[in-house]
Amino acid sequence: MTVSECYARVKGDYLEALGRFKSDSMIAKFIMLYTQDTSLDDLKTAFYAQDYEKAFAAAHTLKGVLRNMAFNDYAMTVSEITEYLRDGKNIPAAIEIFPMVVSKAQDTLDVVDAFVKEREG
Amino acid sequence: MAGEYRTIKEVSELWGISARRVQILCNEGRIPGAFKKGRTWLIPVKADRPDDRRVKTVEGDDKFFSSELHERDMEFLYSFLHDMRQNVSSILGFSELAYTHIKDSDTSGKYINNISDSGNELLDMTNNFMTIIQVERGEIEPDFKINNINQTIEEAFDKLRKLAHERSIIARCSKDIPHEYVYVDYVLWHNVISNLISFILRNTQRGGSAAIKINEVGMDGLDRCIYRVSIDIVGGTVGRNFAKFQRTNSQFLAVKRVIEFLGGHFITASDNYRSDNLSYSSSDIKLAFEVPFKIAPDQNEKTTSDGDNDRSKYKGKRILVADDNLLNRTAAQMIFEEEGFVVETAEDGIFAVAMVERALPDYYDYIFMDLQMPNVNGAVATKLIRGLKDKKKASIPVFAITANVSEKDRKDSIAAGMNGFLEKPIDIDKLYQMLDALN
Repeated sequence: MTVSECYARVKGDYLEALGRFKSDSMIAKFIMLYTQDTSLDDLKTAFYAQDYEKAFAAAHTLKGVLRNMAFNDYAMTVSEITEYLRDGKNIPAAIEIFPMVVSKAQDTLDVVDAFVKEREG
Repeated sequence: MAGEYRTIKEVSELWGISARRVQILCNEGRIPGAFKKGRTWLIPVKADRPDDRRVKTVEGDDKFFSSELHERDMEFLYSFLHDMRQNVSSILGFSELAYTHIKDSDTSGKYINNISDSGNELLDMTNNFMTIIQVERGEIEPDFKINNINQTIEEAFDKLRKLAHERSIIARCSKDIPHEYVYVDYVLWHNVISNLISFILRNTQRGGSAAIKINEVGMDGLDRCIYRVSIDIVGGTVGRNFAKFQRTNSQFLAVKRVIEFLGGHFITASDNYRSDNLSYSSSDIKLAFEVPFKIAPDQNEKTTSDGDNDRSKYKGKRILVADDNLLNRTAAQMIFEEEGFVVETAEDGIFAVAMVERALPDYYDYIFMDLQMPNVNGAVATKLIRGLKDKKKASIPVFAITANVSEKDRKDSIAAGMNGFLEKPIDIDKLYQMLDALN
């Protein structure tokens, strides 16, 4: 799987990432970093504990991570939940959209894990 | 070959001393069989740690010091304490005079300035002595980072010209530095240059003249340039004791030691004692040393594009990036470094504040902070920086980098004293617009 293929599968913007990180090898390094990022875990933990203030902070951080990675499809969903959680604006809507966040996270992780395994292979 | 020799790092871990100390022992030839292959020291596996204590214990001795000191060390200590005593006496003397003339603000003001000068000299002396000890004990590890060395030199020259003028000293400063961006331990280099400027001012008589020249004189291999720093003083204050001065003056010794620590060496330190009449004696002093610096090649490339000319003025500026998220922090660092900035990072607002507090006033040019951080967030950290006593540090431009700026975030950040916002991911054009707007 090439970097551009990886981005196609996660519905990210490969050209945006290339403009930011300058090379496929640098993008690959950041994909590795992404696999170690804990923002999604923090979001899940806070959500399950119904600590929506912490959930907002985690979602906000995750949004930044995804935007940096140009994982734009996933980022849009996280952006939406972030705004619902901000200052407790619309917790019911956040709860409703949370499963989609988790689902997109899993889809992204499946592709990224496969990409990393091939590299390490 | 493998298995017969160890590297400096391996020996450092084995002997429980710093790598720098091991290197010094190798340079001094005190490890039998150690040799240099290229730039790497190789030390025989069988080599024992030499006894590198500088003083010997003397059993059953009535002397005050528990160990025997070299005569040279005693001479230095005596001279150091003598100079300290002079400054302390000055402070006490001028304090009394200031108190006596307390109703005359002009006169008492002059005495207070004298007290301040003596106090600063005392502080410099103790700092220099501590630096010598730290270097000798291998407690300092150089921290080489890319820096615009030309800037430090220019600031020092400005300071010298101003203070020299106030003391009726003619100061001439010149430099020729084709490679401005080099790897340098900024703190140590700043220490050297500040001490040299202070040395010139303290050791040149009123009406005398001093010239300082900093030139790049050659290359050492493919990637290191050699700087030569020359100082010429006509009408120095040292007089006939220059030889002793070199052995005992803490400022001179600190500069010499730090230069050697940075891999440089003194070329000349000489004087020409003159006696014009019975009541006037002085010396002309010449000092010169060379120090190598590794060149940062990418930073020294000049841009020819008109569109980039405005941006080139930001190359080499130092940014502190504070973000608790590793990926975001790394991405920001990479983006800024790609643009030619020198970047340091902090994992939280509290570390960022601590780094600013510890740094010299002109060290950081800009700070970029994530708003959401677990312990001290961006707005609070900015408030703490704005409250610092040092005015220069307190006014460092601080920008928020954040995934999204809400109206509340905007208000809180402005109230805290932030200068602007950048959304993640960082847009380079917007970055430069913000920096230009500051100017």
